[in-house]
Amino acid sequence: MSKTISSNASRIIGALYITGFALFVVKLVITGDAYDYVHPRFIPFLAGSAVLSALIVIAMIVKTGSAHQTRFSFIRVILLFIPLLFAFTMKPSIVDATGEERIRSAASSSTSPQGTQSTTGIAQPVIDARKSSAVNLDDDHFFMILQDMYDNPAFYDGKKISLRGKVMRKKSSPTDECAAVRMLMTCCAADLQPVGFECRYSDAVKLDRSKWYDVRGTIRLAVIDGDTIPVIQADEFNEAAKPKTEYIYPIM
Amino acid sequence: MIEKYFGTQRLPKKNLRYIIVPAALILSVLAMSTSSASLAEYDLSFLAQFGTFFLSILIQAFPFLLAGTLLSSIIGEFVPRHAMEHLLGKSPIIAVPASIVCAFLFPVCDCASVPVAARLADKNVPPAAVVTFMLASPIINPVVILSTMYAFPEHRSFVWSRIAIGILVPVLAGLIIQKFLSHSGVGILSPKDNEHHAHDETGCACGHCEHDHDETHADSNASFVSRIARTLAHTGEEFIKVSPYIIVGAAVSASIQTALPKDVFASFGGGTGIAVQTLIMMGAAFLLSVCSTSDAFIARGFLFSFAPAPIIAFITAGPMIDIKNVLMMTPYFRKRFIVLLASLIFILVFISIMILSMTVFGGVE
Repeated sequence: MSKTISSNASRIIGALYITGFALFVVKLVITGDAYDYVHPRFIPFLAGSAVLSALIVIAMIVKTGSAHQTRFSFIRVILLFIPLLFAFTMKPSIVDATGEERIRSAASSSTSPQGTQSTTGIAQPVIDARKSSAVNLDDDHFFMILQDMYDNPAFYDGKKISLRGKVMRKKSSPTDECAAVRMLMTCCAADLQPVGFECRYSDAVKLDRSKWYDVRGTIRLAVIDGDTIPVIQADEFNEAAKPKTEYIYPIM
Repeated sequence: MIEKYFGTQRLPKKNLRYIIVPAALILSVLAMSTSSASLAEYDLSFLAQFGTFFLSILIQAFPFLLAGTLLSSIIGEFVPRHAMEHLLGKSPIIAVPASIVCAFLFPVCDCASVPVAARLADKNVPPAAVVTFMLASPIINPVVILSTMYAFPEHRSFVWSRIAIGILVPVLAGLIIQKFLSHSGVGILSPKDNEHHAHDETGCACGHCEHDHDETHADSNASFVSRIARTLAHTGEEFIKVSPYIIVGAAVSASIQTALPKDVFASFGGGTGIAVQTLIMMGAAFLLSVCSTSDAFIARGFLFSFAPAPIIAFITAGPMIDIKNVLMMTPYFRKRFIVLLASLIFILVFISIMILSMTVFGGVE
């Protein structure tokens, strides 16, 4: 599994790996596919890394090494090129396996004294949502408001709500229950988790998991496993276009 | 020397683990996708999901790994071997507080801190300070603090607890290791690094750099441009050196995250005591290898099933020791040091969490 090659050839193999990975990163940034893999805050760093990689590769190639022979490991090289094989042959694919159990957990925490908090230090979109009679969860404030809805559900009881999301439900769920969710990315695709609401909807069983829906309904509070959480009494699930970005990225 | 980073020795059989481990993990993921009735219900493409997780971990780590190896190479090229020693002394009295300040100012994860820490060790920075910097920087830097505040807007005690443990445990671990080393007389860097880099004044911590011994870093008469070029080339060599380890780490982490949804750990939490919950959370942090900038959001999801203190164990133990950074340490540090460090982190975090439970969060029941 190992043989002797010149040190220059070995250096070029190293440079090829860096070039390959940098090209993949450039492709992701240019096509916008990077959003499927990492949080947008990484995009400038990725672009900077690609530039730095180019300089590194040039320096590695220009550098004159000794002409002596060196033994080199094919296994190490194969290992290096496995990510490149994945990178240039597959499309990003995220499917959540867990159904609605994780939906609450991603957004919720132990609740504070409900409906009694001052608004000091609370973001303006959250204050607006608390005061408004109808809550619209757009992409920019989806997680921020959803988080407050779980932390302080009493503020939202009985309000109208609208959001765009996908449907999750288990085959074992009652026919009138499902969840309306978005996937939350805080760092990279490996930490994606669904966030959203349990919904009561008479035709829940007919909804298609692969489609996007505009969900409209009324927020009701329910006690599940000892926790008071907001659920949506849905009036309608209308098919909708895929949002501009599939995932929700909390601002950090 | 160049042969270092592709291996100068005849390939030992133990190196087959680099193929066998990822292959076994991929096969196990495939097996799960076909054999588990409950998961098959969802008709998932586990291999595609594994690939996405695997690549996303590598892509996210790419800039930080480059930054870490670049900074490591800059220190190697431009900082004389004994400059740090003159500046900080051999005692941890100045070096440890200085390393905490550096950790706070270094807004990256462990992907970058490991190579830099190894370089600092090579520059004769006291081990206590090296360990403190390496363990604390993924936890107490501003990006991580902000993400923790954002994930727990109504639990500021989580933020302060994380910072406190993120300083206390690295300092204690560093001091204990320094004490241990002073008795044993053994260094923390792997012997290969020490032997290879004892050859010049400025040295080189990578152990796999390809510069020839007649082309030393100590050539400070070289032009600035040529030194920059050498630094960049060295960055590439060190990046190539550490990449296989982070690739294996990403494969392991992606396999676990694909096969075991995060809420699997949550299902073990209910009805157990704080001590057991803490152990579960520390185990989850080790296995999942989540980046410290995002682990608070994962941890938030555990609040349904776990008490606050074990949640803090998740966000403090993980950045200090997990599968990914253990593998990343392998080419730089002695195995005995890594084992000792991992053991100390687990023990110290566990004790800290127990004390935290009793003093801040109202008991350990």
